[in-house]
Amino acid sequence: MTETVVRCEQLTRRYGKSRGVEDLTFEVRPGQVFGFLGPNGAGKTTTIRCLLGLLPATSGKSFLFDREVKLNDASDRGRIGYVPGDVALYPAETGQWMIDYVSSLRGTRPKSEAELIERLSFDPTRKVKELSKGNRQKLALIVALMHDPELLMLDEPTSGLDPIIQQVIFDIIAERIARDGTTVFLSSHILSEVERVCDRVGVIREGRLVAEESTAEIIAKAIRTVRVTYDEPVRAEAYAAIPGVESVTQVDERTVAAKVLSNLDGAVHALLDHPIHDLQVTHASLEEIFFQYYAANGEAPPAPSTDEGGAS
Amino acid sequence: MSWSIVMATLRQRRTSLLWYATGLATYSWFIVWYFPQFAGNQELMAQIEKMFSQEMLAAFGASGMNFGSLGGFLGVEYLNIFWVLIVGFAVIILAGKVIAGDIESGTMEVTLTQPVSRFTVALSRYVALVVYAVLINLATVLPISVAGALYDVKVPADAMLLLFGVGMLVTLAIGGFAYALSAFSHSSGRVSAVCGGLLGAMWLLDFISNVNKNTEFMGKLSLFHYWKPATIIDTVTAPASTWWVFGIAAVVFPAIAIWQFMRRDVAA
Repeated sequence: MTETVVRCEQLTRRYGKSRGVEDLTFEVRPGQVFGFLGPNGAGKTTTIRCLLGLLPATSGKSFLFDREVKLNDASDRGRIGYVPGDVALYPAETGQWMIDYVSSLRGTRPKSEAELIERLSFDPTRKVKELSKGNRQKLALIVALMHDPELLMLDEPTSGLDPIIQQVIFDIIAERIARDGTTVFLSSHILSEVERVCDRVGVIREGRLVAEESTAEIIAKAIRTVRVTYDEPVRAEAYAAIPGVESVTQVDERTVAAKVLSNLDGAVHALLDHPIHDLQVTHASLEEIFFQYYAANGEAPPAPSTDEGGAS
Repeated sequence: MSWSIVMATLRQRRTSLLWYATGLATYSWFIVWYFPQFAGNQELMAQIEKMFSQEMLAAFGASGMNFGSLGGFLGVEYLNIFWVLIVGFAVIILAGKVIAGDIESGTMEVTLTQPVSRFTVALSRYVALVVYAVLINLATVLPISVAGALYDVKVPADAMLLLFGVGMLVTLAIGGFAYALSAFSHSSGRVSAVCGGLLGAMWLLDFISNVNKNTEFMGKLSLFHYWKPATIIDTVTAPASTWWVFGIAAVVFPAIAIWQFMRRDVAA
């Protein structure tokens, strides 16, 4: 039984004097859905390329299915489905040719080719050069999923796609996770898609892993907003000194919203010093948490989720 | 080796293969077709030869050649220089595309993320280059034989067989060098430019070595010096140096290419 599906041990990859990734250590266990978060240029694609044996590591090691990744050892690649963010396919060939080519390299007929083609409303008779970006991405997904891989490596799989196609792609991925227990390594800078499917998240910043926790834990640690509507008018400044409260804003004359960093229990009790009309506690989204990691380091937050996938 | 990769590689270059093969076959056919007109008029040939300076004859690899023999005529008009350039560029472009070009366009990832080793990929792509070389050499030799039979020109089969064999080695020496360069590069354009430049420089070296006794030694640095199609066709022999130089290049350069491909970065 495989103990880890993906594992990096102090993985470092540099491009000459430039940074790629530095001292990455993490693991993904069977059946986990691991989100690898970071802005463009953080090192997500470099990590995936090292894991797939496309790039040699400068130092450290990476493992797939507990076997060390070697550039010339392809024995476990039949267990992996890979979707790059910037799909490159042979432009003069049809989708069907790509499907047949990959099948011939794998030495087996695909198990779910027809189902995926139908689900994605994809026309395999059209040449790649005639396909839109969305359709090329669909083809990449079909090619990656059609042999029912044990591990899906998705490198910004929905970058540049419209929300409808994004939705379809994530529906299919979510189904595979639920149906087959597929392990997923999802690199993304679109936090909503990570939040939707991932049960564990690693945050990479400037080539270094700055956090690695379960999605639930990372959200639990984050800021909550406690919004209280009182029966009578109150002033927000009266609550500014509550321990654990970062800031309090006046929403209207009877409502305040307090951002609570820690000591939620104490903060809520302190806020309930008058009779209340309504109380609402909301978690920060993964997106807000992500920005927190950057803000905590005094940096400008990364570019918003306008999809620019690609190498880093 | 993977036949899927071999066939896919050739398929990507099918249009260029068709054009090169058609061009070479047509060229071979036409040369043999009008050879009897020249062979039957030796006086005119001698006059034409006198029209050119020794330097010009050297530039086309025609110094001391007998235009009246099939080998001499084919050598001067076709095989000495033009054929090497045509076939050379065909395999240089192919070799540049199959590694550097495939990495440059990002399509190498499609192949390398499947269960095939880098060794298999590199070997299969080289086999595709060999098949490509076989096809363009057949497109050279077969039309010469067929046109010879049609226009009453004696074309010895053993000479054509030898021409095919040495032609293959020349093609694979040039292609192998380009393949090795391709394994080190991220740009197919750079591979073509460097190899094309070297081929041009070698032709220049051969030319310089032919026009002056003092520069004769430079010829040994040029592949054109070892390529003697006229001798092959007329005497059905090839000098030992021809076999050694092209043979070693055809083996060593692809081996370097495969070794380098197994350890390089594969990312656009």
